[in-house]
Amino acid sequence: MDRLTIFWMLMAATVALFLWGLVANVSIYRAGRRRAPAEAPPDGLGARRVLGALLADGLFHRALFRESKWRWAAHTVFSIGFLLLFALSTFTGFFEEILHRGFGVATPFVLAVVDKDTPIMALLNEVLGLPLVVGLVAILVRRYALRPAQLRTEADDTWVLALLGVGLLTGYPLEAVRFLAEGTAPAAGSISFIGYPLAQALRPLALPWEAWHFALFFVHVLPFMALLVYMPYSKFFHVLVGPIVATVNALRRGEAAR
Amino acid sequence: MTRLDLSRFGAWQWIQMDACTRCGECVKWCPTFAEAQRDEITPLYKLTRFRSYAKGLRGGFLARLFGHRPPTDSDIRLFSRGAYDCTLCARCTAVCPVHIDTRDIWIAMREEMVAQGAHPPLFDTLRATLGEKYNILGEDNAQRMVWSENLDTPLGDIVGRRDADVVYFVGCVSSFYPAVYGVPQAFTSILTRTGTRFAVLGGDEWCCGFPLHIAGMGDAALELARHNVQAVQATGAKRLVTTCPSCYHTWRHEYPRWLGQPLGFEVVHATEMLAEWATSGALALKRLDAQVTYHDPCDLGRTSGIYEAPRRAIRAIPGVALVEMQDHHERALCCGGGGDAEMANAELTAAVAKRRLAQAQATGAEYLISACQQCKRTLAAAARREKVRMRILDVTELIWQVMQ
Repeated sequence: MDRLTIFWMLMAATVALFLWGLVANVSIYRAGRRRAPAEAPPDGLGARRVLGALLADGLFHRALFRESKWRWAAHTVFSIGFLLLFALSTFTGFFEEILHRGFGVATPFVLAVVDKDTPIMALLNEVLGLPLVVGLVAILVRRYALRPAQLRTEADDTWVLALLGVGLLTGYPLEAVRFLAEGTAPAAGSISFIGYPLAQALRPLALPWEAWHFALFFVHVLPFMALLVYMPYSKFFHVLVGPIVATVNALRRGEAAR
Repeated sequence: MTRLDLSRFGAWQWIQMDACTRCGECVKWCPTFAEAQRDEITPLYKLTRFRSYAKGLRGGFLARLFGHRPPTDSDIRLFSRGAYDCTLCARCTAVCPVHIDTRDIWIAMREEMVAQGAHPPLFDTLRATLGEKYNILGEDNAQRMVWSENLDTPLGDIVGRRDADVVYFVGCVSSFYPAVYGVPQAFTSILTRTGTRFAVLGGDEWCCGFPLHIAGMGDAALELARHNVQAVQATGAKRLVTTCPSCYHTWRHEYPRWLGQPLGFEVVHATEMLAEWATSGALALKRLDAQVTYHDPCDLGRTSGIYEAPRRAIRAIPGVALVEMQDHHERALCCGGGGDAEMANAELTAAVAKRRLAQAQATGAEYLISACQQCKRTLAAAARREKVRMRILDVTELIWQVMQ
């Protein structure tokens, strides 16, 4: 079985388990009774205020910014990088799996998106990986080296960070091994300012690069799949509900008007 | 294994619990954890444990695989200690990066502890006392006006007065604790001086139900609420005023929710009226050359949003310099006297009060002013224990002092 067939089979199982967890969480929410709100919704709750709160509080967490600039920077770099890379992966995945492989579309634009070595795609993948690595390192340093007194590190914290860490830190090596496995020419690879130099550094090892690419690909994607399955049961679920809660509570508190 | 009633919580409360990232900001600011250093007190513990229990109940085999399980009896006992060793000050909401509305969640958790029979037994006594006597001290409720007996100027026939514009809801603590009689005495004196037509309910005033509600016995508070609302409506007054922030919060924010309808009259806190009068020059305030610091009561500030009215009233006094403590406004440290914590753990309340008093002392102020009889009682007790020479007054008492 080829690498992508295995990937999609695993992905289907992952999504099914994730949805199972999501349904379990929603069943808890549905078990909750409706409580009458203490106050009527704030007046003048127009689209502009909602959008303002979504951006300032849901996405950019102004309350965290007020609390600690350092923590805000680490969280924002990581979360925005994650969001953008996720969007890029979804976009390219749609082009590759649905348009190109599914429907056989082969227009120049589709081919440019599908080809990882197109300068713009190579650059986007390379650049968007950086804030994730920087943000993750900052988060790890704070939790495990600086260890502020208010933190309580439990298995949940460690599992989430370990899965993210393995997934993210294997991104550039995977790219490097792909260059070696596919024999990418310097002209095409050089735009990848981290992956390609890493490939050059690894080349003297003369390993069976195709097998390594196969293996490293799964080392890279399996942690993310595990994280997706784990997400509804972990604190990582905040990536879905946190922005909603931050937005709604900011509107309730009148923060959006400030 | 213990079953939990998930319907005790609102859907939005469950969603908010899932938004906790375990960042620990709430731990840093929790006043009771700062003193007791027991993890089960922290908001972080309570939120993450409870959501784990729920996932253990509803999440199936995967939840079990990931370590979630329903609580055991010993889990519940430990959880209950944390749930009740909390002043419900809501500072955790203020500092939470996504502002999880923790206080209502803590109250729902206490409701669950009551349902499990894991609450401190003293609260059963409170429920029985309020059911029979209608005040938290178990005194004869007909004696609610005892605080007014030694006033220089008698109040006259103000109990249940039908032509009043304002009903003054005195509250249990001010009515029955001699140490804080000064609060209703000062406020009614100001009302008289300003020519306000006001009434009190006397023996018809029942506890507002706040102590039961926050103990997790909200069902028992409903009868008290219905009685009080009917008693005020019977006077025909269009405004109700309280000096107690917890009564204010309950009347203003909880009663309409419990009863499912508007009250039909306005609810204000005394400091709002004082600020209006003091800044408009209606009170003829004499000079007081003194440095004053103000303690924000949790139920007036954080949970009701009134920060500036008491400050405006204080600043209106000629000669007074208002200095802020290290923690003030939304970040103000609790006095320790809220959330029924004193009933569950008096030692903890005293420790929190001591810390707040130290913050007040650090300002160099001669007066520590609050807008809550319970804060005054708690801080004054701390001052006595610590032998701190500082005048601790309610803002109504300060204003009345400079009106004489």
